[in-house]
Amino acid sequence: MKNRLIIIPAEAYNQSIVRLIQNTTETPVCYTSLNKTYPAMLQLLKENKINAEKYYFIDFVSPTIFKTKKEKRCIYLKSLDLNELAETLINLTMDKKIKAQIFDSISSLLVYKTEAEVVTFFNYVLTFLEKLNVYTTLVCLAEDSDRPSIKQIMMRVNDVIVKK
Amino acid sequence: MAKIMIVDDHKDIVDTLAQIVGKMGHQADTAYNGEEFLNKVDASKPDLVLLDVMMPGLTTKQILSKLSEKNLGKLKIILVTVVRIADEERDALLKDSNIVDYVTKPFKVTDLMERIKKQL
Repeated sequence: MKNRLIIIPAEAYNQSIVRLIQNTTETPVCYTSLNKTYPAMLQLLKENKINAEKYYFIDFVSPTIFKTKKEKRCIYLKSLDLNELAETLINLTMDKKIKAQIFDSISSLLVYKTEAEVVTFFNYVLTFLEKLNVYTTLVCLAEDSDRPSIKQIMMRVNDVIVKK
Repeated sequence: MAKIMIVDDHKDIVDTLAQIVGKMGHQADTAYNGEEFLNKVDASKPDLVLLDVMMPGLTTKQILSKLSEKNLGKLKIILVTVVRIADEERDALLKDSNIVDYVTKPFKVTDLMERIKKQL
């Protein structure tokens, strides 16, 4: 199954994310967010008249700011342990028969993890998602596109799309 | 002249915010993570803090919790961040903590200056 990296300039980020979500036809979708809370994602979907029912979420941000409660369609990660993230992502993909994965974003992950850790994580996760036939989209900010980990991920994915 | 503490792990952001603060006629103090901020804040005694949400180390929740243990009164904090939160979450934050405003990056310099001015 296809996977791709989308590189987005900061000023067009939100607009591009909305278009990406609107254009994702495979369902259900797993949206892994490192920069938007689950309620913010629900608000974004509602504002853009997108059916949230076809989405499952992995949210690392909310527990860093708020008290969270158990949700039916969202898994909150209490820490950014990459083994835990990979396990959560793969288990959710298998349990809910996920067809598309959006990872938002590698730039956010690079705040917390080293270049090498990020590359190892995506090599591992992409291999699993390919086996599970999941259409995977990785997102990163244009300002990070020259970073060594992004260069390596560019070589690993099937497509690289640079948004203007 | 007020003292404004800038807390962000990106040096370029810290430099930009320090320039904005300087241009407004205020004094900037800086920290590059939550731990450094908590270590400096007692001595620095800032009038306002510009705090990033996504930084390595302590989470925002941990920083605010440790800050509340210090006897600093109602220290005003503006969150300056790429993190998007829902309107209801924003309202809850502004109501229940030292956070007085929430600015999302990328921000307009004039808008940020207005928000800082409003808090001083």
